[in-house]
Amino acid sequence: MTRWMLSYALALLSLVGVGWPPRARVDAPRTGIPAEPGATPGSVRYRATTSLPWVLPGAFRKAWVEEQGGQVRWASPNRADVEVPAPRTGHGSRFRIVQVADLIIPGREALMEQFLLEMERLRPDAVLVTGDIAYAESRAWYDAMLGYFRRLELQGIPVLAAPGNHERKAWPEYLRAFGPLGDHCADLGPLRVISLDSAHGRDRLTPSQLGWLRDCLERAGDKVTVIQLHHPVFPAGPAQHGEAGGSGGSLQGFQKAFVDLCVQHRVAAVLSGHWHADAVFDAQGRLRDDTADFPGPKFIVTTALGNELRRVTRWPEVHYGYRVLEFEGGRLARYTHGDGPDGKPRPIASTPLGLPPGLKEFPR
Amino acid sequence: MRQTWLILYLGTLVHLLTLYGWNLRQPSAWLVLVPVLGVLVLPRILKGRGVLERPLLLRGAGLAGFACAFFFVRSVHLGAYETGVPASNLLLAGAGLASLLPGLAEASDNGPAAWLWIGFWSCAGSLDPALPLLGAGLGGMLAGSGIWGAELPLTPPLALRRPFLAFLVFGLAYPKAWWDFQLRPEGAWTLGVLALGAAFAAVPWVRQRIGHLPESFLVGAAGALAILYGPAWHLAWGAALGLVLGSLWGRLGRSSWAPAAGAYLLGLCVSFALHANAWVPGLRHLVWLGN
Repeated sequence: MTRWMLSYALALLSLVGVGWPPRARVDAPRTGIPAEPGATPGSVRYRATTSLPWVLPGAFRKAWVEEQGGQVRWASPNRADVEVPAPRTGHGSRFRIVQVADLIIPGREALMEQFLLEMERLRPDAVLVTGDIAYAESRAWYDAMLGYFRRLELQGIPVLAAPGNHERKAWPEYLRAFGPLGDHCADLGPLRVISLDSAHGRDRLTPSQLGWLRDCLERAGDKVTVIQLHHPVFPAGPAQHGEAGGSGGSLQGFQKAFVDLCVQHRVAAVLSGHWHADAVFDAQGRLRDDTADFPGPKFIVTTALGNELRRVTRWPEVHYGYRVLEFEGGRLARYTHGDGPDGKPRPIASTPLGLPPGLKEFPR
Repeated sequence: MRQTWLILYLGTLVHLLTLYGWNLRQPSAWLVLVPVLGVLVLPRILKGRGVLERPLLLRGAGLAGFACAFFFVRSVHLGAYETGVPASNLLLAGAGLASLLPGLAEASDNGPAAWLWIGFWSCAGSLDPALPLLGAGLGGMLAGSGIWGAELPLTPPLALRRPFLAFLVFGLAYPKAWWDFQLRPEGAWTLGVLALGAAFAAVPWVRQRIGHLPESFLVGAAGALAILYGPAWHLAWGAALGLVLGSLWGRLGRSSWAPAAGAYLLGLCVSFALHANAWVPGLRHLVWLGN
């Protein structure tokens, strides 16, 4: 008995030794949004993982508790939730977000500069980056990508990132640069943005991930909900173009349960990338190249910002681009680019990115 | 001690590699295979050479294993294990190899107490997924220094006839909570409860009662649990798999340990291939119930 008591005493000592001196990691979803929605309306929640159980380091206590009047609650022995009143955002009923996916490969930085330039003109309220952020696996490349996003944030445009399959190749770098959470939930003005890591097992959700999503959706209240995940939810199916260049993979694990949740909770839009091509599906999995205005969630796939372009579905347009989504009066008002001949919004089309001089597209 | 190494070291090693990836283009990343090779070949190499009967060597190995584990865990605490960092790989491999020796030297198992130790450190994994490694390193030090000592010898009522198959199937089932919870800490509680289940199965009067269950029943139960996993009942699932593990472990002979460890590792790897989408038609629908 004594030797086991000694063993456990040494175990506790070594646990303290690992965590000493007290430090903490902010479990923020991304650089621009350090807080998740709080448990009470009008509040936000900061979360930190501490190196020692029930010890919030002094710097965190000062910033969150003393200066902002936050209340500390320990979600687990080393996870502190600090709830503070939400800052006033000043967003009206109109809200604009931009979604991008499948960014650039080294050597094509001019496209990223062009994107920043266009964002400076467009002034979205937030940018969502839906995976395949870094096609090179080095720390320097991740830092370069982070640098681009910081420039957006300096203009007051928060950035929320979700990982793609390429992030799995340098997963510790992704976690270091974009926050220690694969899945996260953030409130932006009238929106609740949920980011999901669909790249576990390349294209799957897991059962507990689905449970977490259900909780987020149930707590959304009157917020308009938008979900971003890298993999398209539906396959191209009958709308597939030829052999689609070997691409066209879609969500495999719990796809039906995911779609049911989106319909049940009236999710406005589910944003994806991965195909390097534009597409929009309805909740039945039909490609909607007939109209942009149909009831139910819009399952939107957005073309690549800078990597090779593909043609996956019968939708003929191929270009680098991003997706602009406009919300008005608590609903998704517009998500496609340009008007058709009848004056109504064109279906599917994303906003083309202007090509910098000397740079050519490289469709497959 | 041997199950401590198997679950807390080998299990956590694979867990970390699946959580953070394995950069095989970095030569030092291959170092983590050294303890894996060690568990497969060292029992044969060291057999009858008297190396494992030198207390000073075992004490030194245990201490080195703990030191490596401590500094490794400290370096990745609140961060991530990067296989591109040679020092991390060296510490991790050192921890595994050095803490393996006291386990090999042990004359017998520690019964429920060892499983409780595993449960404690598995639960500590909710604080940080790398922490169970510290339990393996500290366990090696305590065993090597004789503090744990030899427990009552086990007299299994039945010997495991097919240890390879049994531990292969167990290896398939064991990491389900890892895949499901990924970076969330709840999976650690599942594995903590699993160890408690194994401790319960190792209590002598329980072992007597479940000792006569057919081996095929236990293997079938482990196989069924590999499919019947659900986050809503993950603790009950862990307890059931723990009972199976404890019962299997109680029947494992000393000479069967290395094949069982190899089979367990193979099971983890096959599970990884399935959950990481190895495009196996038909099987992928069994990966998650309700998928």
